[in-house]
Amino acid sequence: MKTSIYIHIPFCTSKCKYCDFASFPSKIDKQFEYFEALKKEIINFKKKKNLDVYTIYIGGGTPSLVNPKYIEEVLTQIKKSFSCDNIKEISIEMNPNTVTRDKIQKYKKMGINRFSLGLQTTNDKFLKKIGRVHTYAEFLESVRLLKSEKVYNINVDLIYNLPNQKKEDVLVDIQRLAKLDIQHISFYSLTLMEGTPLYEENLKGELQFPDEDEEREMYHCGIEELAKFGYNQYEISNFAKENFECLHNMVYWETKPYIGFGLGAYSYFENNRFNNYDDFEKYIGSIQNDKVPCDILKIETIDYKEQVFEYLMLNLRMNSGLNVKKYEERFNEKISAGYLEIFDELINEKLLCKTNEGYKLTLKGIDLSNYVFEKIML
Amino acid sequence: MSKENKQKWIRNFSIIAHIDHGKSTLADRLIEKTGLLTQREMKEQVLDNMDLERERGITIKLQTIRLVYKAKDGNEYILNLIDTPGHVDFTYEVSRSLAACEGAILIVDAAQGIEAQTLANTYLALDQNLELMPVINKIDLPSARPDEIKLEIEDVIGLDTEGIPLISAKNGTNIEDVLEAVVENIPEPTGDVDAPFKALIFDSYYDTYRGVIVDVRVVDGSVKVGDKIKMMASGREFEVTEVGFFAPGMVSTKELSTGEVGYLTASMKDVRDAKVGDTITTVKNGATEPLDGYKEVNSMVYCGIYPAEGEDYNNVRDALEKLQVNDAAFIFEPETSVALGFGFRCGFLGLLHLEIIQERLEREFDLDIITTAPGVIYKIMKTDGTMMELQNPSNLPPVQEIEYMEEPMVEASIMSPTDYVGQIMDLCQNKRAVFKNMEYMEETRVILHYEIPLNEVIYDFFDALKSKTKGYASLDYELKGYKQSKLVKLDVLINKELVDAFSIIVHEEKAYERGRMIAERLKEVIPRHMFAVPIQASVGTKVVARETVRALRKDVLAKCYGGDISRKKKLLQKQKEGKKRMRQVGSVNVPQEAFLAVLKFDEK
Repeated sequence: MKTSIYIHIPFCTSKCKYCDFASFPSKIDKQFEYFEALKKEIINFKKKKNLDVYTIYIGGGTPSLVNPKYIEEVLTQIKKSFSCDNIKEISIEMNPNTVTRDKIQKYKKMGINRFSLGLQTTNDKFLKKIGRVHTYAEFLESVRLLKSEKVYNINVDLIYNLPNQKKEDVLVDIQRLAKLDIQHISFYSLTLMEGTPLYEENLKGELQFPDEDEEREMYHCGIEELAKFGYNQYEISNFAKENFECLHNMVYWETKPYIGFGLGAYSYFENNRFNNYDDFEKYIGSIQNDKVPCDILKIETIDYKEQVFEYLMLNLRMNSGLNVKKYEERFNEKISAGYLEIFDELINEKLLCKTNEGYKLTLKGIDLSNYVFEKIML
Repeated sequence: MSKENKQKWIRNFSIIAHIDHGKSTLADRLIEKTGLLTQREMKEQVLDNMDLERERGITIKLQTIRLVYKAKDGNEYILNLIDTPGHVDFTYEVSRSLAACEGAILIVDAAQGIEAQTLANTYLALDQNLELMPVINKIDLPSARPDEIKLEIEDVIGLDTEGIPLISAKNGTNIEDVLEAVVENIPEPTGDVDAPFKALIFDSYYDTYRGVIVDVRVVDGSVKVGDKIKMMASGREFEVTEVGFFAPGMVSTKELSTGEVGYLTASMKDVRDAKVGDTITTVKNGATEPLDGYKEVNSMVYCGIYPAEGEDYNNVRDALEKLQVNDAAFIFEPETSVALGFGFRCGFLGLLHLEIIQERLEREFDLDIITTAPGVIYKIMKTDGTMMELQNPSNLPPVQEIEYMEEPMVEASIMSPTDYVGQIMDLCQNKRAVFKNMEYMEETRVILHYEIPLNEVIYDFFDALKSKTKGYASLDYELKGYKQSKLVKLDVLINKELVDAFSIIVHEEKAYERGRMIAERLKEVIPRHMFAVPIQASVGTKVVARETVRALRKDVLAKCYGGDISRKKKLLQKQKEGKKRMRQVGSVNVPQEAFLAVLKFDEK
């Protein structure tokens, strides 16, 4: 069974105001230690299991912040340890202010063939408000460099629903990107996570966010605008020109297996979900002691019923929706009558609709997808 | 020892204190010092043995303990410690327990000094003509200021504090002083050992093995196994099967005699056979006059109790029956509601009594129940000349059939330091209370007498009173008959459907205010649905308040990658569990909490 690999690089110049990821700007001086541990984690895993690698995703933090030699060492270790004859996609996340020609060349040489830029918005005022460390100009420069190095698979992240943002601002963001010959856009609604500076500012009443109706309008109009420029929605927040869907992320929604290496990385493997420690010292310490860097007691075994639910919930996030035949192949039986009944109810509520292959969420269904999934959860 | 001398060696007393000033700890120490239980055998807080009590910090069930103390004068004394609850709903029980004593230890916190409940219960004790014995506790605290507190006691209560015990119940310091002081200062019980048997019932409870156990204070004469006794209020007769005392476990003896405190059993099946405050005497040659102070307890507050799941009906009924066995003031009978199905209409002494029963049903019997708005009994004079009693607002006859309505009135006595009279008068004004008069007890203390409709008192009057007077005021009220009133039924409609469980009877003047509060409260607790949910409060066809719960527009997770999946599932799981505690009213999910939430009116 082909397995995907996720690598986590937990270093950033500074933390963005909305971020609740595992990233530690202050620990940048511990890079060397970290990558030693990361390589060892891979070696230790290999001792138990070989992997036939499908895709690799290098995320963070800011992977482009560290010296590219570290990235190379990790990829080399992966290639040494596992079967990597047919890797379809290797992605790396980058921040516009850390992109250099030298790095791009090196990344390409390592086999990285998909580049993701965290832009969020083309409006410098908004960028500052949410704590990003780059400008739109720096972003344009990054794209220029990538193009000049003949990179053909670029993703840009956009976030809408920012404080003081209007629908027009969002459309402008999309229109500007459309001029740049990029292949993939991730289009996220800003979610305030507890404990982040933006969350606290909001509690104090210092921020003015779009109201619910405006936010949904941004999303709906955004989808239309993106479609106008050839970016077809294939998942709730992901849009791509034909054939440029992100293979690695589809693994999550198709409930295919993946292993996460690095601080706080998540895995879904042999019907178990588990994740590494997100405490820096604990992660490194456990690997140094030749122990797995995760809490064994927290490993979640996904039983049959749960597998079915996850399959439904995650596949429905994609526009291709639930493919009945594929479901039957995967689970060796027909979809239960109980579920079919729920689907009918959801169709009545106009949240789900039938397709040639099965079912998918309507636009309203996407807007209220948590309600849909809750209903499906038995 | 002859019978007469026995009284000399008895001391009957209670302990009065503000919450957390150390009553239970002192009781534990007294038990320890008198050698009944070793320190190792003692469980924490021996007297408060119900979980509920520990949490609420108030004693619900009374307990009596008999201590044997060898004093410094070389004699052995029998010290009967009687415990008491302290809430207005149970004032009658408190007064009967105090009536069984000759004195009371008044605990005052060495750091905090005299506080609200101290005063309230002190006055109760003084009203019973008890000897008050102040004790200053928690002298171990760095913030302790015993000399100042002594002065406070002298000033505010007027007791002499020369030589009073200064103790630390926590550390066991000077506990002996308390015991000596009890022996010295609390009078021995009076009573004629040769007179006909007369005993005060100050508590009774049902025990599965022995039947009803009656806590008694023998006032005159004596009682032993085999005696034929009579309850003077009901006239019912029984034969005594056991007598004894609490040490704290039950210890049976040959007889209980004048001045003693203990228990008796007499094959009684129901606590209503042994009513608190009643007098027991013998069938043959019994006493002619009962003791003072007996009162029939009446339910004043009613509400509906329904099982959250229809199939639990029998379990709820069984639990209510079990609770009733040991609670003479709790009554119930079956009723139905369109919104909630089959349930029960229950009667309580007051709101606290209601809350306690509710918590016991949920905690001890592990039941999921829904409680409707508490109300009182109204009298309705119909146009056809008949008078009906209304307990359930949904049974109100159509307006055309009603000649007039009457509501129960109470005479409320509010005792408070003079500082708060202004606030109290403001509060009462908002409660349709009519001022009767005010009397000064001492320079600093007044009693205000008001006539208030009972339905204004039952919700949160007591809590509001306490909060406006920093806890110093105390409340006592008595039913004083019915008065004609302009009353209306306030209905609640959710998504245009009448939800009968929310209906309440209110005074015409209050309809808008209450309606608005209910609508606002419901808007907060009813979750958003796929459609907008209108909430209306109405009197007849007139809508007096309206709120809307907006339709849900967005409920979506933007990012769903590797790490998000487990978290997402947990969230959905939690939301799903939350929905289980919902009640389906038409197509609207109403949380069970909503039924109770509308009752808690915040006093602004």
